[in-house]
Amino acid sequence: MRIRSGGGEAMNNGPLLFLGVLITLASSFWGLVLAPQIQFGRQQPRLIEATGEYYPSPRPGLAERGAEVYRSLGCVECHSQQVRQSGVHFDVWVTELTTNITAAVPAVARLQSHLNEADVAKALGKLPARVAMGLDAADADDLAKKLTAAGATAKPALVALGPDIARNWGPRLSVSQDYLRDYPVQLGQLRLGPDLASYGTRQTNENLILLHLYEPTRTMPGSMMPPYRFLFAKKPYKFLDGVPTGTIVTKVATGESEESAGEVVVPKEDALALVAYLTSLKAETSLTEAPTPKVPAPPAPPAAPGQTPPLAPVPPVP
Amino acid sequence: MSASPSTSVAATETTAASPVERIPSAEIDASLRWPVLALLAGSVMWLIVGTVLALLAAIKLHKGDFLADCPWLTVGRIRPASANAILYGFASQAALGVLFWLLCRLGNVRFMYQVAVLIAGKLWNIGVLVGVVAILVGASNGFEWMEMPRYAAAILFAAYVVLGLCAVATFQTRRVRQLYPTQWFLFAALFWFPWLYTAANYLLVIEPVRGVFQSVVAAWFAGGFLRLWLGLVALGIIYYLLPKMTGKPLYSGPLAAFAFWTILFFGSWAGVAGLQGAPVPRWVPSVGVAAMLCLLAALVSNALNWYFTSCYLDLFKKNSAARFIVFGAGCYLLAGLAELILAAPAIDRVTGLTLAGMGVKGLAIHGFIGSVLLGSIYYVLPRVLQGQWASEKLIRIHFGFHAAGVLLIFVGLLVGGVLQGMKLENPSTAFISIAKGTAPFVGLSTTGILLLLVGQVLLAINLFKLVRFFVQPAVRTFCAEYCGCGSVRAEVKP
Amino acid sequence: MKKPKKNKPQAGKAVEAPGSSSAASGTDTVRITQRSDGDEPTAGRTAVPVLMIALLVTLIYFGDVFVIDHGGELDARVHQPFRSVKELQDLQPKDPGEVLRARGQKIYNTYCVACHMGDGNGNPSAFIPPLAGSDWVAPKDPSRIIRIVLNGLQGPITVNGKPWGAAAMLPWRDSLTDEDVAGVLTYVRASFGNKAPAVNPEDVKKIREETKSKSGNWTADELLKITLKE
Repeated sequence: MRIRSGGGEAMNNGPLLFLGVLITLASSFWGLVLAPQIQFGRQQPRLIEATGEYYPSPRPGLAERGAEVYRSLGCVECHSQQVRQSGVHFDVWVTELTTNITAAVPAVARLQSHLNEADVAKALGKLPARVAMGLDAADADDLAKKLTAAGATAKPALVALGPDIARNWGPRLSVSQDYLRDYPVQLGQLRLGPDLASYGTRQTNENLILLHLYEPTRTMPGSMMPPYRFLFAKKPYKFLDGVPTGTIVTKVATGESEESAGEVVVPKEDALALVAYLTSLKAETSLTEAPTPKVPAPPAPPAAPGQTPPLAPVPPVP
Repeated sequence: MSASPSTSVAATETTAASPVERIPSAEIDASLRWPVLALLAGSVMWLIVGTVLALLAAIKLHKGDFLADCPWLTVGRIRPASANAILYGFASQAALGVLFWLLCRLGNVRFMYQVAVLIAGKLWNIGVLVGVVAILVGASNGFEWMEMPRYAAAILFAAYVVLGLCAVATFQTRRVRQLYPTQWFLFAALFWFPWLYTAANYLLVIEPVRGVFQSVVAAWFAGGFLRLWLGLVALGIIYYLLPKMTGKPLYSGPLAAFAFWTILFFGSWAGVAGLQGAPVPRWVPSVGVAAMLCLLAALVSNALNWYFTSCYLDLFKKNSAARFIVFGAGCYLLAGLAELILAAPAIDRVTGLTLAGMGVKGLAIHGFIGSVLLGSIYYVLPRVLQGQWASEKLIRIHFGFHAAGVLLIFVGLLVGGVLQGMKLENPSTAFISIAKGTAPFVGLSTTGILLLLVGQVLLAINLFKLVRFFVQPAVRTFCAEYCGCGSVRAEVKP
Repeated sequence: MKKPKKNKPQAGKAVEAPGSSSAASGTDTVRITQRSDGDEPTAGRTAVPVLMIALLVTLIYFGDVFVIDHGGELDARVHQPFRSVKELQDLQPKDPGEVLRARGQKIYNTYCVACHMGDGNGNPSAFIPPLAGSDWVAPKDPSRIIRIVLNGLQGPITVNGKPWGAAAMLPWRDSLTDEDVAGVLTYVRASFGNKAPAVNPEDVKKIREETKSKSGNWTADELLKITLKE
């Protein structure tokens, strides 16, 4: 009884096979585990020049607990936490006029030949004004220099592109630095619900979030998100008792007696922690690897004589 | 001892050794009876549990308030619980059971470690139970297919060490020194799983790495788990059963070796391809996609090898276990191609975070690995119990439900995912309408899972009858011989 | 005696008729079937077709091309959709003063606004001189005002020809870093009508070293003795 071998004598040698298996499988361990550990596994929070703070900043205690609740409930099954971007382009904004407007308007109109003078005049009347959109970096720079030379100080402004950004899911793409303090990092693989990476920048109303957790169809009719009623507790309340914040009134009290008592739904600690976590999710700081769009702020209004004018509005910290 | 079945290749003997005297396969099967029965029966039980959980999860995905008041049943916990039950409880356990049988048969050696495997198998089941319950209670780790907390992972690992050592010992004491391709695949899988599992647990749970590196390790683990643990065992099974069922030799051993090394090398890198577009340095998913591209060579060589070994259609008609194997091989090829197409950057931009990925995973898990393991259960169990399935028809019906279920899941989720992705590209489409638009496709996949479940119930019925028929008399015999209770005469079931 | 359940089935033949093992008698029912399952499969020796090797080489080549195109130079900073570190650097804000100004504005509004006021006009009743249009702020060389911020100022000072009384400014050496000082001075020099260039954190560091041993606040006379560079 003879058994024919497959693949040659070497493939019959147990130890040689073992060695081959070891080397091929080790290659991925080296390449995908050890090399990335050296390259980006030791990232540290980074000092941001513009604010003097470290990014990412540690989460407050309740929000840390909220991250635990997020993991334990498995929110990652339906929600992703990664804002994606498909590219950038530049707009050019005129921030101030160094000559009078009558001289500036024809100069700008000449440079932006597709605009007529009337539109330019209207735009330059209210600064800052966007005079060009959708240019690449070199063209935007060029145009800004020419406009500044012509008397209308102009700057190019970065614009982030992509459906995620357009849906206001975040001001910029998510990058590895954003997740430095997270454990576990829950990037998500499915978007049955909106992306939450920068949820705290678009939703800060905690009561609304609590209501959404309690009964999603109330805040978003047609939503398929399951109601998380078990994160809340029902309590009766009487007519004159103050209803504390964060409660959801499910039955309005009509009097002082037991029968006419109302009912409120009070969030338990897990719900409050989860909301604190969700509002702490912000990915808006500008980083080298994630340049963040900034729109030039309008100039401060001139001070009336003898009065201390209000503080100039602080533009968003980059 | 019958002569080698029709082999067209001329004999070229490499050694002048005297022919090995073969242990008859019936004796080998008999030595494996209880361990393999325990492992395979346990795996079927977990398959049903996992599919029930998957059904609940799928219903909840399009009908949010279904059973929403119990925190144990919230969709974010049920989905990982079902995945872990199916992957560890069913797939890994069945893989181990069939692996022992294959190693003994190919090495022509009786199995010597029944007690160890029985105990370790029980321990494995306990580990899966602890893990699944822990996920439902909320102690999940948060990483895909690694959700079981560390204490459950420790139990699984301890059980695996015993099982793995038994397998390696069986391999080392084989009486036939030449190796058949299946043995390479099983050997590599046996070796890779503990390394993968330990590394992932250490780097993600015990001493977690920092930041998105966790996602890289998690993707490396998930890809390796599917491709290089379950996938290698399933490929090894196909390489064995296709020639065995047709009686023809495998078309080419060297081609199988080519596929083997290609899969080992590139397959271990391909797991991170799913991170395209994610907030990780982009070289990581790029390298993963390049590796996935190179896996195409393995796909093609496997397809050629199997095709030239036996004509698929022929085998398909032969018997029901063969249908599962052929269907599994087909799903392997389809899933490999689908995965590669979805990894193309232009397409991934659209389908990246949609149902499409879920659909391909479902095809790989249920269509490829599930089918191959089910087919091998249907093939192996009657042999180790030395009997036959009570109802051949039930197997055919099971296959029908299984194939229909898998295709419904795959097509439903793939189409749903593509539509979802196309709508997501347009920022003026309100998100709520996109979410609502996924509901009918998730509904299709729910129906698919239901069909799978019906088929699995048929398997359970068949299994119950088989076990009762063969185990009951054995137990009675045992009792009669050793304690004098029960009747000696075996009952015969028609 | 054992009775074979059925003839040795050929390898691969299906198990057919259900339950035909019925003819059992006695204890050996379960062990009756001594079926032989046929031989184990064997593998042919056909060599790997050259085309398959060619396919693998081609795929490796295209894989390499893919990693070069989409791999972001294997740099940890490059995330999709950006392609290279140079692209990221080109997208950074060009104006170096912008970053310092933003930081300085924050510091000014935290620490300085109480005395020098939000419009930079100072507070005559508290003898706090203005920063708006100040001839101390205007010169290109900021070495005098860096010293003022680091060690404070005491005593009378003449700003824009107008004498200001004996106000005191606290030293900020220990509260502000070099970047903070550079930032707030850059902000002041670009606001309230001032148009002086940005201040470099390196210059602040140098002056901090030079004046390490200075005790007490500066006076205006001491500062005016320092010659300004052009």
